[in-house]
Amino acid sequence: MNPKACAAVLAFLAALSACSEPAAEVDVEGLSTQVKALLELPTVEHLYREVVYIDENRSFLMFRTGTKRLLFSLELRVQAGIDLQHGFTVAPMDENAVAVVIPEPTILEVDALEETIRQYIVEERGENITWLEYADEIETAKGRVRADAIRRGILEEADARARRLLRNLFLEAGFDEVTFVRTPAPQL
Amino acid sequence: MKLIRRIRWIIIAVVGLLAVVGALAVIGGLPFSLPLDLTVSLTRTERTTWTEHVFLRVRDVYRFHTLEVVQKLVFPHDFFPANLDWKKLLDRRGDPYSYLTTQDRRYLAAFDLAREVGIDPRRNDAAFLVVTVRGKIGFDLSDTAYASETAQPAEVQDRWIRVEETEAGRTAYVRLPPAAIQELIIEDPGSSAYPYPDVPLPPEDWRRVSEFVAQRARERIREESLAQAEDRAAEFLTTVLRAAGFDEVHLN
Repeated sequence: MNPKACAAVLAFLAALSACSEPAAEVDVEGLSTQVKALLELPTVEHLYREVVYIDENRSFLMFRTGTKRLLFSLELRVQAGIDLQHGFTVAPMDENAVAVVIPEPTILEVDALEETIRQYIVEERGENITWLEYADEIETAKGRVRADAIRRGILEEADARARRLLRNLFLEAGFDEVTFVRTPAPQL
Repeated sequence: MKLIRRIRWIIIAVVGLLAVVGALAVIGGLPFSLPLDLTVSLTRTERTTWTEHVFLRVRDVYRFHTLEVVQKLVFPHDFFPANLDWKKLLDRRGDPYSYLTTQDRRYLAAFDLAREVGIDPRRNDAAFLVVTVRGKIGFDLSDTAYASETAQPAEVQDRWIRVEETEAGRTAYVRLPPAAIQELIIEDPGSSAYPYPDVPLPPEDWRRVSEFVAQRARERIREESLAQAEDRAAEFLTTVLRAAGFDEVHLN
């Protein structure tokens, strides 16, 4: 081959590598332990099983260069209850009765239960399956089960159970009557 | 003849260059987009995803959470000292006459798991995972009279709340179960919320890593946090029962 042509190709390749972006620096400082105050009454959970399938094929011209196939399942948990930090107050009505102002029930957690992961198929040819690839699918699944749990009435169930807890607390404290009032919606 | 030879070498050079560019595109090495507006792409990716959920069951939960301990842990590097001499430690493990301390075994457990999932802690360019663990601390009320669906006999109620009325006023003695770690949640970040490099890690390996990290995170939550959770519960119940008309409130 013509040495000048070789030199030109090599110079071109050298120019390509010079144009490549610098590797991103990873900042791992500031990782620490934090303690946060909570006041929450979780009272009900809905459990789901999610099955995830991912199939990816890469090709160059007509030739397959990489294949990834993944099939696994895991359980997801949607938890609802009352957040007592916002809008919870108590006021006596008389010696034997008390009014309890409680906030609306809310979804407290949507959590993937990693210990329930069952992997059925994993195939990697020319490509590796990475953590964030299926983490994104799990994140999407969480949104769906959250919506499904709300549609099935998890918030109403959580509210009823939270009221029972609080009613029992005040009945055992000697009150004969416990009246629940919903926290007013914020004025806009 | 010379012209034909020259044309032949030009064609070989162009085809060779296209092959190099195509190879770089396949391995993702191109630092810029091709300036050519190709109607047919050199590389193609076809991806199919399919997910389906099934509702399993409802679970009653009666808990009172008063504290959350959030830990960010780097697997595997947070589970052994940065300057650990791995060669020495691994040699000692291989020597039947050497003694390994409990701490040595813990370091080796982290090392072995890391190696099994494809991470070599001895390398400077080793991969890592940043895992956020949230521990919720509080009280499990499911076996108490507070969670009961029916009215409890007086002697059962008195076990949890006892009221005394004296000339000084009304005093409530409230009992709660001991504070404990009620939940350990491993956060699942999507790619948009995880700023660190991605790691080759099938789900089964992620399960093993997350179980390991959760166990170590549980151990790191100190007794002081449990005491703090109890103080916070006492503060809350005192505020609530005083607002309801009690003069004094004692917890446990």
